[in-house]
Amino acid sequence: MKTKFTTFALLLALGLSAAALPAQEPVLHKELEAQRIKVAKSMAKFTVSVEIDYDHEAVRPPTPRTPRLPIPGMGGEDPNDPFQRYDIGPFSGLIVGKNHVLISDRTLGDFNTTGAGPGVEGVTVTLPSGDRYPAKVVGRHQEIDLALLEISADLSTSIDVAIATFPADELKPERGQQVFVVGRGQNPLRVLVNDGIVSAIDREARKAFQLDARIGNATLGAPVADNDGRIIGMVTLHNHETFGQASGVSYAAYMHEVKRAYALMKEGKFVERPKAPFMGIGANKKWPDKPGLEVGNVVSGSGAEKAGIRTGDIILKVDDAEMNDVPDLIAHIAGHKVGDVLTVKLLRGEKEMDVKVTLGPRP
Amino acid sequence: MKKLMAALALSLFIGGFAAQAQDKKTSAPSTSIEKIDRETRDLVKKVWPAFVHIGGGSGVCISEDGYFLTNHHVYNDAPKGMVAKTSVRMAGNSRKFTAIPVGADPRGDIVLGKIVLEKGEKVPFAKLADSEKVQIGDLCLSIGDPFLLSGGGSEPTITLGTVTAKNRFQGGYCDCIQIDTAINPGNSGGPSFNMDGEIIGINGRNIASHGKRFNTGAGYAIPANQIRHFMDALKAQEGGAIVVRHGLVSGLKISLGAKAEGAVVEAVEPETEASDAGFQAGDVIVKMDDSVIFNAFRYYGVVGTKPRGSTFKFMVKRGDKTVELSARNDLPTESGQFGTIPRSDEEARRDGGGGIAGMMDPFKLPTAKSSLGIANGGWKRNPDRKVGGFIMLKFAKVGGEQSPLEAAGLQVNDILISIGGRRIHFLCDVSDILISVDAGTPLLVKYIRDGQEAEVTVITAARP
Repeated sequence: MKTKFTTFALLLALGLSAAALPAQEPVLHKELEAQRIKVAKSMAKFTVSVEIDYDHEAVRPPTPRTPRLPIPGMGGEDPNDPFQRYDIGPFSGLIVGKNHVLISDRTLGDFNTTGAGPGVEGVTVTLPSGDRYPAKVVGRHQEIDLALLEISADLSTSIDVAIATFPADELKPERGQQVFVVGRGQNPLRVLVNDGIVSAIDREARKAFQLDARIGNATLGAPVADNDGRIIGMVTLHNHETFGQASGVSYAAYMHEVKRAYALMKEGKFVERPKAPFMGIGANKKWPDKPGLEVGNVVSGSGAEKAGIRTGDIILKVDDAEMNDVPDLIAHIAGHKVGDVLTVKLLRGEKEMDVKVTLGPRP
Repeated sequence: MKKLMAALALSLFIGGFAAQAQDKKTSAPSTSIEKIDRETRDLVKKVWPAFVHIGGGSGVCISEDGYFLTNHHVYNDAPKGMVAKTSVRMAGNSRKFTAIPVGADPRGDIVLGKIVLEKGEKVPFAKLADSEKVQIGDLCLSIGDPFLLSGGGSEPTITLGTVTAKNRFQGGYCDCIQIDTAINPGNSGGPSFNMDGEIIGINGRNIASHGKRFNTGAGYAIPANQIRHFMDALKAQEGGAIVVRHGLVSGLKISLGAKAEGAVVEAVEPETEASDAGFQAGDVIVKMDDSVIFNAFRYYGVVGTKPRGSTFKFMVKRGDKTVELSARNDLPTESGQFGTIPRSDEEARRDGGGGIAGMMDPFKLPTAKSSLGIANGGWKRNPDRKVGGFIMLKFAKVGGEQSPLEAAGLQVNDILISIGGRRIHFLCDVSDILISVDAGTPLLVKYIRDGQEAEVTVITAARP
C-alpha cells in the first residue's frame, strides 16, 4: 500500500514537473539570447556614454521636434506634456584612439564650425567605470555625421575599456543580414542592445547602409556589429525630422568611411556637409494624362528664377530626360551637384523653349 | 528528465560551437544563428527583385507578365483621380516601365496594375500566400520605400518582424493582418512576405506616434486571400469600369450594441436579400463560410473580404436551433446613400490627425467622365428584384441641356435595367460605367415601360 502510494506520488510529481516544462525547450531562442549577450559584452568595452550640455536660451537644441498636431485625448495640447520635451542625450560614443571618442556630429547642433557649436557649454564622456572626463571637440566630418572628441585620460591603460580597431578590408553587409547595435544610455554603466536586419546597402551615396533596429537618441553614435561581433558601422546620419525615433528606419556609416573620416579629423580637419543641389521650383503633376510637370512656385534668388522659369510653365524635359513624374525630377537633380548646369525644356502657353539652370545649394 | 538532460546537453554543445565559430569567418554557416541569418539573406535575394517603386509609395509584381498590386491610395494620388498610366521602377533596375491600372478596389485599398512589357518579356514576381495559414507569431518580411529614401533610385527598404494579430477590423481594412515590421509613410502598397517568400498581405496603414507619422510598432496589411477573392473581378475591369465594390447583405440590420457571441440581427427589411435568404430579427450569426463570427464587427469584416455580389454561407443561432442560410452581399457599400460600414476606433483616430501610411483619402473614387442626367434621388430600386434595375423618378439637366436619357425618349416611371450591356441595380452601377466612358459615347439602354422591355441608344453628355 505504501509502495503504491509512493509510486503514485512519484508519478504525480513527475507528471506535474513535466507539465510545468514547456513542450519543447527553446534551444534556438536561448542561443539567440546568448549571441546577443555575447555581442553586447564584446562591444561594451568600446562604447561610452556622452553628455552634451546646451545653453537652452541661446541655442536651438540639435534634435528639434516637429510641430505636433494637438489631438484631443492624445497629448500634445499641454506644453508640459513629457512627450513635448526635447530629447538631448546622453548619446553613445565609440572609442577609436587612446584619448579619442567618435560621436554623431548632429548631437552638437547643426553648426558649420570647427569645434563645438555655439550654445554647447560642455561635453562629458563617462566611462563604464563611472569615471567622467570633460571632452574637447577636435574635428568634425559632417559628410557622414561624425565628430571627434578628445579627453585627457589614456584609455589604452584602462581595464574596462578598449580601443576599437578598424577592419583592414571593407566589410560590406548583405541585405537581410542580422545586425546588433550596442550603445549606452541614461545609465552609462549599462549597455543598450538593439537588433535588426540590414534594410538597404546603398544610402547617402554609398557611404551608409540602412537598418531596421529601432534607434533612439541614446544609441546615436553607437557601433553596429555583425553576428561575429565585428564592427561594421556606426549609427549616424539619423534624421529625426524625417525618420523620427524608433520608427525602424535608421542609417549607419560604413566602417571604412568612418576610418577615412577619423584620419581627417585627427589632423583637425573640418569637413562640411555637402549642400544638396537645388533648382528652386515646386513642381506638380497637374495633368495625369499629359507629359510634363507644372511649375507651382519658383523660389526667389534660385537658379530657376535666374533662368527665367515662371509659375505655370510646364517642364517637359531636363537634359533629354522626360519629366512625367515628380520623382523623375527629384532623381535627376539628386544625380547632380551644386554648380552643375541643366538644360530645361519648357512649355509656356503654346511655345516650347530651352533654358539653362545652374543648380545652387539647398538653403 | 532524460529529455531535459538531452536538451541541456544540446544547448551546451551548440553554445560551445558558437564560441568556436567566432574564429572561422569565411566558412559556411554552422551555428543555428548563422543559418537563420543566411536564410534571411537568401529570402531577401529571392523576393527583393519583385518590388515595384510607384509614385509616392510601393508595390509588388505578382506575375511574370507584369501584373502588380499596390494601394488604391498610392495609385490614386493624383488630383484628377485615377491616372491612365504612370511610370514605375523595379528594385535593382534603373529602367522606367510604363504601368496602367487594371482594376481598383477603393474600399479595400487595392489597385491591380500592369506593367507594359515587350512581347515575351518577363519580370521577377512573388506569389500570393494562403493568408488563412498565417499564424500570430509568424515571422514576416516587409519591403517598401519609407520616406521615399530610395530618392528616385531603385533600392527599397526591407524590414523583419512578427505577425502580431490577425482578422483586425478597421472599416475598409476589414480583415487585416497586424505586423510589427517598420511600416512608415511610403511603405504603402508594399508587400509583406512569409518565410517561404510568398506575399501574405499588402501593407497600407500604421499606427503612428502622436500626431506624427512614424511607425510605433503596429502596421496593417490587407490579406492575400481577400485580394485573391477580388482578383477575377479586378482583372475583368481591364480597359473598363476600373472599380470593384464591396457589399453588404441588403436589408440585414446588425445591432452594434447587443452583447452576444456573434452578430445579432436587429431587423430584417422585407423584399431584400436578407428576407429572401430567410433571416429573422433576433438571429445570431455565428459563422460565415469558415470564419467564426464573434461580434458585429466581425460580420462587417468577413462580408468585406469578397466583392459585391458574392454568396456567403451563414450559420445562424435561432433560439435553440442552428440554421444554415445563404445570402449575397448585394448592397454596395461605397455610396453614402446605401450601406454604411461602422468606423473602428483606429479609423476615427486616423481622421483625428494621423495614422494612415499614405497621404490621401483611400476611398476616394475616380470621378465619372460623362453624365446621363439622372437627378440626385431621382430614382428608386425596383421592388421586383428578380427583374432588378431602378425606376426613374426625375431627370436632371446636364450643363443646361436636357438629360441625355430624357432626350433619348425615356420617361418617368420607366425601369432602367441595363446600360451598355451591364446590369444595373443601384445608381453607383451607372457611375461605375461612366468612369470609363467619355462624353458623346453611344450607350445601349434597356428599360421596361408598361411591362414591355425596350431599348434605346443614349449619347452621354459632358459633365459640367
